Amino acid sequence: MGETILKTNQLTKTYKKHTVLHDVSIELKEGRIYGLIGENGAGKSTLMKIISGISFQTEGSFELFGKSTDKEIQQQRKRIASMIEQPAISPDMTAKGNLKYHRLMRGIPNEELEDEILQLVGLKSTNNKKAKHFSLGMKQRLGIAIALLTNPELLILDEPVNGLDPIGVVEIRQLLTRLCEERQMTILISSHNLPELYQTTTDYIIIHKGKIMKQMTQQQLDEECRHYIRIGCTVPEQCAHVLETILKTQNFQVMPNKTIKLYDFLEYLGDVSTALFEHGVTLTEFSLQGDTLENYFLTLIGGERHV
Amino acid sequence: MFNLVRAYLYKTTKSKIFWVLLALTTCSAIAMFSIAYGIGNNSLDESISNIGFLLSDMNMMTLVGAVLATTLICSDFDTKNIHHPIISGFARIQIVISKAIVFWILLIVLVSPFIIVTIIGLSMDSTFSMGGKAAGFLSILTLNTSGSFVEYTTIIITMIIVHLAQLTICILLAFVLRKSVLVVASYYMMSMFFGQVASFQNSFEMMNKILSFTPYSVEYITLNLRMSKGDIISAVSICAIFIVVILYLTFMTFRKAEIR
Repeated sequence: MGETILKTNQLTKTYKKHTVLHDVSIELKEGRIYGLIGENGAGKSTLMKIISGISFQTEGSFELFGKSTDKEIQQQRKRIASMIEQPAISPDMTAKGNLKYHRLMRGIPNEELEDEILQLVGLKSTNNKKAKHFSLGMKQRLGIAIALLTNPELLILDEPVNGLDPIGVVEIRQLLTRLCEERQMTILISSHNLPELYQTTTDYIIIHKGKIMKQMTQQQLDEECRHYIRIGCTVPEQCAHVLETILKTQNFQVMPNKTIKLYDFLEYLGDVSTALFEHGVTLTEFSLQGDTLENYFLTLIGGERHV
Repeated sequence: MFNLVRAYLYKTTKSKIFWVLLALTTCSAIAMFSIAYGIGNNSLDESISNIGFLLSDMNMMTLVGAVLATTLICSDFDTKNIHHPIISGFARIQIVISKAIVFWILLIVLVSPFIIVTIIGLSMDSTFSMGGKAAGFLSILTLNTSGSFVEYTTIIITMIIVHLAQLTICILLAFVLRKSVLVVASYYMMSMFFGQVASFQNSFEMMNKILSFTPYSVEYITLNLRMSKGDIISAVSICAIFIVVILYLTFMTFRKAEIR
């Protein structure tokens, strides 16, 4: 695990009497892509705004690159970039003009960087077209281009693929993965769509009504959502022996409660039960288990479970 | 902060609105100069002086300054561009001061046509008049008092400072109200109010005292070569203090402001 980039300690945000964030404590490590998942109004943007300095927490604190005072955090923000809610662009300027404006603001002397970044996000051919005439997808790309200008160590993106066509979604997904791998960039992406994030992120933070419901790695999520045959029997050792010798599989786990999770033969329930029965295994439970990403998410936030 | 100033200058000068405003002040300055010249030389009737006064710097800059503030500040709130300097680690006080510096630089550019016509007028051996109405550079142009180069320069610089101080309040309005229409409307109403109050200033001692601490005092908007050094120093000091107070208030309102 890399260095801790961001650590929030019981962040709470209240607007008048309405609590938008409630005791939010998360930790982001270097070089990982975090998916912040929650329904609309769950508090994703508010959390991102607080980290970015656009909004302020009512209670709690956070550390950015290990620094925690207001002054230090403000200095550390030079190492981050973000695009929150909608791309903040100047509509009367071209894509290149927008990048020049942000390059000047950050004191970056390298003019060639503008073309390189435009190439990277696929906006090189927009030439003199003003940003106000861009499609929503192009604006999103420009917003990402602006965020990438400083080669940030932490990139915060709020719904970055909103409005992108399917090819654009794949391109942005590949770009983010590449940035994370090549530059060890830590990325926090928000979305209300878990399957969309599944192909990009390495970690998940699930937020609901301002509370963090779960922070988990992709491996843990896979484990939670993986389909398997749940086998309950009186003698698990005997069952395991049949699986290994008769069905020739080792792709199973004996759980502490003595049930067995079998990850093979998902389409052949009948064959498995017959083999076990014929070799004298007394079954107490036999069922197909597992979840889809959407169902897992809905279950976690207490919504209706789809069958 | 230098980077912020450069970036804001780049963005604002790329905006069409700025060039439209410059064209507007240039046309107004030429028209004001021509009318003052015409009336002064009896080739135009004095009844046109109302239009000439309307096109003078004191009136035009009220409108132009408020629109410039909206282009520079309100548009950043509209487009969420105000997020960027904050996320980039700039302190909010740096943002306020950078905006103010750029605002003043561009105001000087916008008021420059009035300065140029005033210098041209002062260097001509002609009489200028606006039928007794005078404020801002128009008052310098029409008073027809001769002076040295240093005196001319001092009075022109002081008048620029008065303009900048008066319009600095647009920065506060833009950061507080954030909506272009509200900023232009409220500043225009404020300037109308100050104009009316200034005309009664000498009748009410209290009002006279209050206004004398602001750049809206009739003494400062009718600067001319007859004024003493003390009056000039007083005008510059009041303007400087007014600017500091307004920028401090702006910072205090923006310091912990939530940005949507």
